[in-house]
Amino acid sequence: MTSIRKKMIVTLLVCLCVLFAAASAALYLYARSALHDQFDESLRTKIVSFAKMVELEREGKIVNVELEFHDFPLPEYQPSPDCEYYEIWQVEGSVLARSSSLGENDLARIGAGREAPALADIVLPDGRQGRAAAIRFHPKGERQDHMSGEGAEASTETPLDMVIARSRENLDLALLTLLCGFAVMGLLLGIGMVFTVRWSVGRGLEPLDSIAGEIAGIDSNDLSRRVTTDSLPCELVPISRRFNELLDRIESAFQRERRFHADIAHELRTPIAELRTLAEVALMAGPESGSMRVSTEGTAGAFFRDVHDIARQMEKMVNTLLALVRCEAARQGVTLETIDLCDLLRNIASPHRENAAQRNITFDLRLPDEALSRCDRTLLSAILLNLFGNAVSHTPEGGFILCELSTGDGELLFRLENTNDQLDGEDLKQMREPFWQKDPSRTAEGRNGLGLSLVAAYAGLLELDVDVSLPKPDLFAVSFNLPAA
Amino acid sequence: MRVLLVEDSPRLSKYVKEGLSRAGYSVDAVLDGEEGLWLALSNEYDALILDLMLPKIDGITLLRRLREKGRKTHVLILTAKDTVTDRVKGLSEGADDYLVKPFAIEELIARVQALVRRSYGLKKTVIRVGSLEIDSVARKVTRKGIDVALTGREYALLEFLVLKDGRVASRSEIELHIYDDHAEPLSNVVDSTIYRLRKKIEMPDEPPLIKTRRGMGYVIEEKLE
Repeated sequence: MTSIRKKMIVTLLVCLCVLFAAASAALYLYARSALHDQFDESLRTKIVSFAKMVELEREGKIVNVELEFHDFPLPEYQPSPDCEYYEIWQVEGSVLARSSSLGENDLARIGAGREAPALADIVLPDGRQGRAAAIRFHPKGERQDHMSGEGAEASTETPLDMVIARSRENLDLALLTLLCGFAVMGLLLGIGMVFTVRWSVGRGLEPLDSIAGEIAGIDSNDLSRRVTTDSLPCELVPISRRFNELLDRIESAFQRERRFHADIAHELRTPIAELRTLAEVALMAGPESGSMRVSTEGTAGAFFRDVHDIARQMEKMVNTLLALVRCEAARQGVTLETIDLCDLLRNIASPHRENAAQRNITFDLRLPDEALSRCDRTLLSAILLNLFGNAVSHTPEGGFILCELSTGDGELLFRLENTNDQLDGEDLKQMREPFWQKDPSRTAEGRNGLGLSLVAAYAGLLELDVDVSLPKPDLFAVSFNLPAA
Repeated sequence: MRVLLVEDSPRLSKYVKEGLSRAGYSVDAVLDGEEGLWLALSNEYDALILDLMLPKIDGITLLRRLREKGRKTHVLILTAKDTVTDRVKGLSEGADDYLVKPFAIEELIARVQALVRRSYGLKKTVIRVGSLEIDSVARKVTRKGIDVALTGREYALLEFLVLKDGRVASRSEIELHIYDDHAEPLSNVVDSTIYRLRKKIEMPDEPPLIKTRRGMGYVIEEKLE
């Protein structure tokens, strides 16, 4: 079953998580990009400044570089755990200078940018991940011993390549810390969101719970209660009003049904009582008064007996219809008691066995030694009476009826089979409908097609699952399970 | 025995009255509650058969007013209302029995007989006075083991005298209990019925059972066993 509360909580949590994840990712990427830019800008500035501090010395064919800070070595280029590196080459590849932090190692010579420094990630000689900036530049003031001092301050024509590198561990650590921060914050926010969303959804759905409670308190025996709309949110007011209107209609329908029940009782039962009493009094022994001077002998007597039979048949039909109405209106009470089913079945089957024997029908009653059940005796008796009556009526002469009661796992299985080659699968679907009869001409005497409807209604009250089937083309079976006591 | 029938269906009223008359009861039948209440308060009935859905005054109101006036007439409700609630309501308002329509006339008569027996404090269905035996269920009378064939009216008169249990029954009292309102209240009707009854139940070797108290009425002196 779907739940609005569950659906809302899940939807809200998913949406909030997606939004938070997207916002966090965007924020992280922005911060990462900013830190990278800052780191790279620092490297660029450093390499450009560095390049300006390089002077070229040429002694014959020997070229040397002089660094302005040679006399005051910069501490970051000294060997240390977090040292930085630089290395200067001539274009053809000979190393002119390197930081003492490099020792005898070389830096990766990445393609140098002529106008702007080029940047790349490299692995530092000590194995750390690093970031390097490379530049091709013309050192200032080439000192030429064979030339005048002209051009001492000018840039030389000899380009040099320089790479400086530093570890990016701090940058990566800062990014990792940021990422972890987002993750921890996401987790805490997620937990917080679960509680917040559950609380807010629960609070938002309180009016629905209130309505559900009010509706659950309404039962068919008291339809005068209505859902209060005064304190409801405006979204629920139309629903509650509609529901109250529906209750009005149901209450009216119930009242109409009760009036109908009373009317049918009076309008049908009284004429039947008149008819039956007329016939019975006419057939009574004793002196006749002037008002009912009739002969009960011969044809007149037979007529009165027919009138009496018809009245009894109508009475039975009206009583069955009223029993069905009571079941549908949930006014038929159920009284559970412990019943000896073997005893009950023997008693109820007895007259039907005699009727069956008169029509040469074999009636086999198979019962266990003991079978106790918790059931309503009156309703169960009515069910069995109808089933046995149907079985005897619809079994052809020479056929057989088998009634079997067997014990199972906490249950008792009742099964009644009888010979019947008139039914098909379609009939099984319709046979519980009131007034259904296989014969469309409905000429079967004494039968009104209400028996199985009453069986189904009473079985519903007793929560019995009555199964009808055709195990063979000429065999009809009815079965249901009863709770063992 | 005199019974009041309050039933709004003229046909049913007619047939029930006929059935009860054949069983030896004198029946006053009315079709509405107002007249029924008036009759019930004006006369001493041995039993009242009462429908619930009646014009003018409904059955339950009639019953309530009857009890408010202190009348202890035994009442049988005869109605089409068949629910447990209806039955409980009827019985709790002071009815003694409840029968749902349609019904078997034999059952109605048997229930009325039970109410009449109860109104005379009897629990047994067979009444014995000396050598006279009355089976109130079979409505059969024997004297010294010999069947005595009586008409309904004769049976009712004999049963009434026996149930008086040694007390004198006046002519007017007999008329009131044995004959209904529509019977002509002639004094010789009682006398002639007594005469026929004596002829049927008296035996030559037995002292007379029904005795005449001149100026007072009739009595069976022997007490009920």
